[in-house]
Amino acid sequence: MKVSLLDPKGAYEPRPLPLSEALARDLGLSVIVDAMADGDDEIREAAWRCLLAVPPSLTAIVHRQATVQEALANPGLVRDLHAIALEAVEGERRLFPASRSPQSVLFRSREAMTLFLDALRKLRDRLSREPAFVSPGFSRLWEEARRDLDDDFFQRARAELEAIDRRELRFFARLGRGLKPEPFGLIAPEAPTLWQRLFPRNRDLVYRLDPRDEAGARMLSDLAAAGLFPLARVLSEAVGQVLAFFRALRFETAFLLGARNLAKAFSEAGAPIAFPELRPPKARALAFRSLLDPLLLLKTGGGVVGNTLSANGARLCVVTGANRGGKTTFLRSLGLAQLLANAGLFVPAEHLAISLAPAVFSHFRREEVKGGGRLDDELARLAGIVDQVVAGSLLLMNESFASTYEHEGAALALEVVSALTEAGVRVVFVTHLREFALSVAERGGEGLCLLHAEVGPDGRRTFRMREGLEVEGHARSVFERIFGPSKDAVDDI
Amino acid sequence: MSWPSLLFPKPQAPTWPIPEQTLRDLRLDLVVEALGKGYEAYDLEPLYRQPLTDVRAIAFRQGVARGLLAPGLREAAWAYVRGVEEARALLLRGEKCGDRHAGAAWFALAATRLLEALEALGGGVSSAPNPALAALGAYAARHLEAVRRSLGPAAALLEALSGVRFELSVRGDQLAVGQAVPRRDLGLAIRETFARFQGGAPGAVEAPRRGEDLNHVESAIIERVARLHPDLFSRLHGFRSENEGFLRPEYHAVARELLFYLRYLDLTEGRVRSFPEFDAWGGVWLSGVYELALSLEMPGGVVANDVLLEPEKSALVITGPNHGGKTTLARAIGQVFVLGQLGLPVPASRARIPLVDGVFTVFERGERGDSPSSRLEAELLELHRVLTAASASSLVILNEVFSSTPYRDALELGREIDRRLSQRGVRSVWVTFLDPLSRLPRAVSLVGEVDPQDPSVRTYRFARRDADGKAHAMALARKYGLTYEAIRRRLG
Repeated sequence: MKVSLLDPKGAYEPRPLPLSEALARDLGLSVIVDAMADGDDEIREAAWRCLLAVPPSLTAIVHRQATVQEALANPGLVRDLHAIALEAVEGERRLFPASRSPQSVLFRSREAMTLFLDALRKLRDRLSREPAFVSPGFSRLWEEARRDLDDDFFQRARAELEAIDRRELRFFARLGRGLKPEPFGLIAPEAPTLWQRLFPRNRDLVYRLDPRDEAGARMLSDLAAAGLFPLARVLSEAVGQVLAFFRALRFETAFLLGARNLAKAFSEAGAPIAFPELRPPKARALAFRSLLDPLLLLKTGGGVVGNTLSANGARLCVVTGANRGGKTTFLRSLGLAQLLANAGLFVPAEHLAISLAPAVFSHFRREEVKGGGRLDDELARLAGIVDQVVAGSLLLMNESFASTYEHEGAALALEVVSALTEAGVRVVFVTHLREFALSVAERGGEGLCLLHAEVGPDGRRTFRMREGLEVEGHARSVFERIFGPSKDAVDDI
Repeated sequence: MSWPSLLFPKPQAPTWPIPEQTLRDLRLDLVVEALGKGYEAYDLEPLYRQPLTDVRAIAFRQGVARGLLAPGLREAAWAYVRGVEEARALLLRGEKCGDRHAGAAWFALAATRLLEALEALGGGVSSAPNPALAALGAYAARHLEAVRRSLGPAAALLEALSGVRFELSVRGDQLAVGQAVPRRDLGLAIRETFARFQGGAPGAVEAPRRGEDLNHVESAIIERVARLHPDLFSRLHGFRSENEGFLRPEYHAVARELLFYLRYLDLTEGRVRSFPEFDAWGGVWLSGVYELALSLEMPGGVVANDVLLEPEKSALVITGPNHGGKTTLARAIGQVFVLGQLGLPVPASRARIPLVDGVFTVFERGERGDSPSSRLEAELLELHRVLTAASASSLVILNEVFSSTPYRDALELGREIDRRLSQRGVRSVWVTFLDPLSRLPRAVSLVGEVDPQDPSVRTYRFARRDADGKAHAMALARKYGLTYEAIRRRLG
């Protein structure tokens, strides 16, 4: 039996994104995680792990989207499944701990399995109460429960667990090397028939330990341990498997509960919700209508300006423009949208079509590093990213190389960005490096997307990104606002 | 008729015993130690300390060693050695185990191991192209015929024992042994029922550690099993009493001689090695020679060098920067002579050397007293001893002698020693800081080289050219901008 709510291949084990700590910090991901958790630490943990994970595959995430949609529609089911899984896992944890001896492991496994049989029956009964399932994830859970958890199984399992007799253990035995007696299997106890009682087939040759023979008692127990070892392994393996099943169910339903909480939070802030149209990484899809920055949305509770963009096929997106024009917010909303899409969740937008990214990286300017070490620090971090990056990754750069002379920074940026984009990495670069933006624009070519933060004719920020290059900077727009357009100044560029 | 020897075709082949100090100087003590390690019972080390001085005896051993390099032969020889070893260990275990029945079972197991060992020798080794190996194999094959008649039944006995089935019941402090009858296996039933949950990691279960020997509870069980199978156990004891003492001391002696080759061939496996030609012509010609002990320590490989000392030359003078591999090269040359005369392949891709009656070493040793004068005295005493003992067929290796003596005096002493060596026709290898010695007419000069780009990097390669100690120092000066011109420019 497998849980495959989040990944059709089986229990979802999120593979952590490389360098995700910096990414989470740069994007302010904790705000989203808090909204998902709504005060529940277990959900928080699940949310962190799933949001900062390498997406398993496009089909897996499409599968997960369907599960999330059904979970949003049927929150009661998810809550009940979570409660059953929680009870089973916690119940097992509270059992007396086993030592490593086969006897101890065997009898503890028997207790645990008895407890799990109850939980499995509850699970089957709860699932059978639903009239139908829509998503493949929930459908499969029900089919497997119906197949594996039939009444006959419960009956046999109970009878066999009870047949393990603590008081008398009788083994099949043979001779090993040097005539070592080797018990190799447990004999099922059978009540003797009347015939057998009257005419015993054979009489055992009995050996009774001296009551003071403590060493002998230990040897006897070792012998029993050797006989019980294979059974202890089998049963503890089964317990391990059922425990893993319930742990997976607990984890995956926790994530789904988090999805439900996030959807509620977005709706309460008045935002629309869209499940992204997912594309493979190679397609380099990126197109959206009224995409809101989830972070700003959750913090302010509404009234956020959305952005619309069609940049399908873009390898490099350079964002320029005035300070405090919404460039960083825009960059962050892209990154968060990518993470939400990668996790099979929804975004606050009217529409989003996006390629999955096998990894997401952020290279943001760090204010806390002072003095001459800044460029060193930047280059070291970038080297760390380059070590981990794979084709199809999304790299978000925010004012990189601003800590050195512009021509130097621009040259570095051009080197790095050309190499990365040619290697198939998608780069979104928010920058003030005029030299760099101009070089990129002059070079042109397909897959280039130039954006700038819009500034109204009155110098007011609209917080919208517009296509085209805006390299004059805000200083020039202030200048022009006061002095009027100047031919000389244009020639300077 | 006795077992043929693989080491000495005739009982008394002449040898020259190597002093322990010489082995240490050449770092062959490490090699010998590695060869003997784990095989102390065979006392192999003395075999590696007696190089032969008879060309025919050396050729005989080279033939055996070459034979063992043929495919399958080394494996067969090892199978014999391991089989004898195991048989001995099993016999010992049977004697010590403290249980009559188990002792007899160990005894039978030992007998099967010995048969397998003799089969490996009689079968695999008798087909060797080398006559000495083939003779040994043929002898073993004849011997095996007789042994098989007496030890043959062991295998059937062991098989019957492993087929014995019984029931064992544990209830409180009571244990019971019963005849095996058809029963339902509860473990199997549980495995089937829970098969749908398989594939998980099993919990941390530890099988109890039960010693190999029977404890008294297990002895009690076997005693009862024996009562259930009286015929089988009486045949087992009968086998033992008929075959006491089947492991003969000769088997061990044969294994020892095989191990002399096997250990060395295994230790040098995967490294360049070759059988030297011994040539009365008198020169020393080594291609790709390397220090064996060092190569054992460096899995990544070591640098190999070529050495040529023509017959009309008698001294090889090695100079060059410190830590450039000079002593290592001198050792490698010495090793070729010792290992070659043991009849073993040597650490070189090709070697043609004269037969020597001894290798003598005088190495600079730190422990020779504190003051330079006492050090010089000890050095000269040792040199005197060596000069007295060495003959025209000896090789003398001098490593950094007079290094604690003032240059001018050291040079004078060096020339004097060289003159005396050449008067007696002794061939010598010098590792020295005394460049002028390399320009003597009878000397061949080898110089340790450095990386031309970075003179602080040693290549451990040696070139045959005139010694020039200053070149290295000049290159280092340039690297740090300390040449004459550089300093003038800076100060100009």
